[in-house]
Parts: sequence; C-alpha cells; structure tokens
Amino acid sequence: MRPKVRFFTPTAALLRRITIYGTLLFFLIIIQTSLPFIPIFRRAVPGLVLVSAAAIGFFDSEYAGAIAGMVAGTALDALGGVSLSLAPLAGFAAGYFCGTVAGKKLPRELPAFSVCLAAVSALNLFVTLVCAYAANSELRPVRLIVYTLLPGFFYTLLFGIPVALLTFLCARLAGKTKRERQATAER
Amino acid sequence: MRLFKNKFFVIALAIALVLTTCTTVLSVMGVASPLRSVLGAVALPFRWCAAKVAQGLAGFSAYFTEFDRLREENSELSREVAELRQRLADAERMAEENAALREFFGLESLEVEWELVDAVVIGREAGGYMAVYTLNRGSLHGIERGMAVVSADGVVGYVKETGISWCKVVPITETTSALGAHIEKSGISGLVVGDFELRDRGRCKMTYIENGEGLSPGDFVVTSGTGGIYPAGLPVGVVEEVVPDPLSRTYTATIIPAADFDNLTRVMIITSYSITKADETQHTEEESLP
Repeated sequence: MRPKVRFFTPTAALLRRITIYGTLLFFLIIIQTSLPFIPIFRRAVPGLVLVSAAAIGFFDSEYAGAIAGMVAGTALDALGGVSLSLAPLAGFAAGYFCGTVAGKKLPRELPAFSVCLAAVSALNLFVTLVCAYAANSELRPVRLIVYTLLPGFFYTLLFGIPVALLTFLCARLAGKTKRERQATAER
Repeated sequence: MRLFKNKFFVIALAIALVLTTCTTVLSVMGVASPLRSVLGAVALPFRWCAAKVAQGLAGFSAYFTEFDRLREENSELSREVAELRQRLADAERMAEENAALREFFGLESLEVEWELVDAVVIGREAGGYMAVYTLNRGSLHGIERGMAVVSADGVVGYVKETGISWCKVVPITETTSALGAHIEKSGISGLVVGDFELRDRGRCKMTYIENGEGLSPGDFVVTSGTGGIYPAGLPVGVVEEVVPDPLSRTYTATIIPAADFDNLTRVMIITSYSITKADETQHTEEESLP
C-alpha cells in the first residue's frame, strides 16, 4: 500500500499570522533603515527588528520567532546592510531562543520579556561589533564602544519597549489562543 | 547537544547560515543578490516616504534646537557672500583675460562634458558604524559600480553596489574611500581618505602631502582626476588644519567636505564624462542651431 502523501496547506489562521507579523516586521525594517536620517541615530540605531523577532518568539512560539527573525533579518540586510550580513542569523537566534525560554524558564508575559529584551540588546551589540570590524578593521575600540555600541545597546533597550508592546498586541491579534500557547509550552 | 537533535533547529540554522554567507559574499563582490534587488525595489516607495518623514522630523526638531546656531551661521554666510561676490568679479575678469591670452597664443581650451542622473537619498546604513547612502537609482537607470556621485556643493562619493532600482554610495568621509586630489591654488597633490574619528565631526583628511608649507587653512581642494572614478576639478572641500607626520615626513590636512552630508537629500550620479575642446563644442552647438 502506497503511503498517503500529505501536502502542506496553509490554514486561514496561519495566513493571518503571516500577514500580521509580515506587515509589522516590514514597517519596522522601513523605520529602522530610515532612522539614521534623524541626527541622534547617526552613530547608533536601535535593533527594532531583532526585538520584534524575539518578541514574536516569546509571545507566539519559537518556530514563528525563528522564521520571522530569519526572514526579517534577510530583508533588513537587503535594505540596509553594508558588508557582513549577520542579521538573518541573529534574527533566527533571537526568535528561537526567546521562544524556547518562554513558558519554561520565563512566563509568557510582558514584564518577563524584559529579560529577553536585555539579552537581545546584548546580541545586537555583538552583531554591530562584528559587522563594524568586518567593514573596517582599523576602528578604534574605545570610540566604537562610546559612540556606537553603548548608545546602540541603550537605544535597543529603550525603543525595544514600545516594539515589544506592539508585537505583543500583534501576537494577540494573530489569534494565538491560550490553549494553543499551553500546547506549545507542553511540547 | 540536544539542540542539534531538533530537526527544525538544524534546518533553520542551515538556511540562516546559507542566507548569511550568500548575502555577504555577493555584497563583498559589489553585486546585489536577486533577493536584495527585488526587496530593494519593492521597499523603494516606502523608504522614500519614510525618508521624507524622518527628514521632516529632523528638520522640525532642528527648528527649535538650532535657532541660535542658525542665526550665527546666517550672519557668517552674509559676510561670506559679500566676499564671494568680490571674488566672482575678480574671477570673471580673470576668465576674460584668460580667454584673450588663449586666443593670442593659439591655445586650445578643454571642457569636461558630463552625463548626469539625478537621484534622491532614500536610506542610510542601518548599523550606524559605517555611513553608506542608498539612492533611488539603479541598473535600470544605467548606474554601475564605481560611478562618481556629486551634490550641488561638491563630491559625495562613489557607487559601491547597484540593484535594479537602487544603489549604495560610499561617501568620501568613509574609511574605505580614497580619491586623488590637489590644492586648487598651489597644485599640491595628495590623497583624500576617510577617517573614523574625523567622520564623526563630518571631516576627512588629505594624506601624503609632500610640501605642506605651501598649504594653509581655507585652501580649496579639488579632484585631480587620477583613479578614473572622479573627473578632475570637482570641489572636494576646504583645508581646516595642516599637521606634519613625523614618521613619513609628509603632511596631513583635515578637510571640511564641500558636500553637506548632514542634509544630503538630492545628488547627481556621473554616468560618463569626456574631455573635449571647447571650440569644437561651440562649433557643434552653432551647427545644430536652425
């Protein structure tokens, strides 16, 4: 007897999630790549997309977070990247690991996300450091830390709060029910 | 390593690594990946709108915070305009004299002919550690890697990467940029390069100047035409200060770029240029007239 072939058919709920998260990430990418037009963001830009990917992972699931982070990271580098393209990898890591800790080590609640936000800010700092040295190996570490890395870290912490809140609302809008979240946590 | 037994994790990690590697390799080669080209084209109108909003926000905040500075700058510019008017009158007189002498000695006058494509700055690099501008013109408009970009004030930089409808420009203040230049007045030549520390102040530097004694603050720096990217005679900036380099026995000058990088919104890309005899050009124009 031949095995029954099962094709992937996206459900309406899945399409709704893709649309909501896709729209959210797209606009965050546009905002993040346009921020350097404002003088205070010339040297350091908050990692809004990374925070959003982590929040999707945290409030939805690690799978959604990983895929959203990877796709958004690729798009971010496509629009704003210069040399080393680390954003897909960073987005994937942020989305996946924040999703993994949620429900197990941390409750899937907004205040608990602050721990992930700090971790994502640190990840953004690391990615910026690697990309900066890949672009120019003659950079002076002190100046890079003072003018780019530390402001970038604090901007991500600060501007990550509204982004996390927005992603939390989007996750709710995407229709992730409590039962589904419990099922994900049990898995 | 329990993590690597998770099939989803392994597959997603592999895809992320492939995406990272491919995008990086193509970016280093100066070629936009098809994905990058398509995404850039799709996001173009949105980025244009976002850039306009961001520029508006920056301008609105500057209205309140920079009033005193602008008033001071205004009075300084008024003084400068008066001085430049005087210099323009001198230059016109000298041009007439020059033309008369050329005619007398039978010298040929050379003119540079440009082909320009106008562009709008729609993006700046997202990481902040490297200033790279994205313009709304790409290979569809005939833009190629290595073309020079200028503004109304002077040299901006060169095209680093092109997509279908966008391109990325490295400014002259960036450390990866280098262009041959000389002092307009004295003809002293050097290499204008970017410097990370000076970039923060909106400056670049001119290195390998052998005769630094002939240099003084306020001297105009123009492109020398060497290197093949920038045509000769384009304004690069003004000398701010000159310091000797004891190691190489040369001098280094800090340059204030002519282009206003803080408020850069519209630029021109030089798609081609040629040097022709001025007489021939006049002749062709006369012939084409009815």
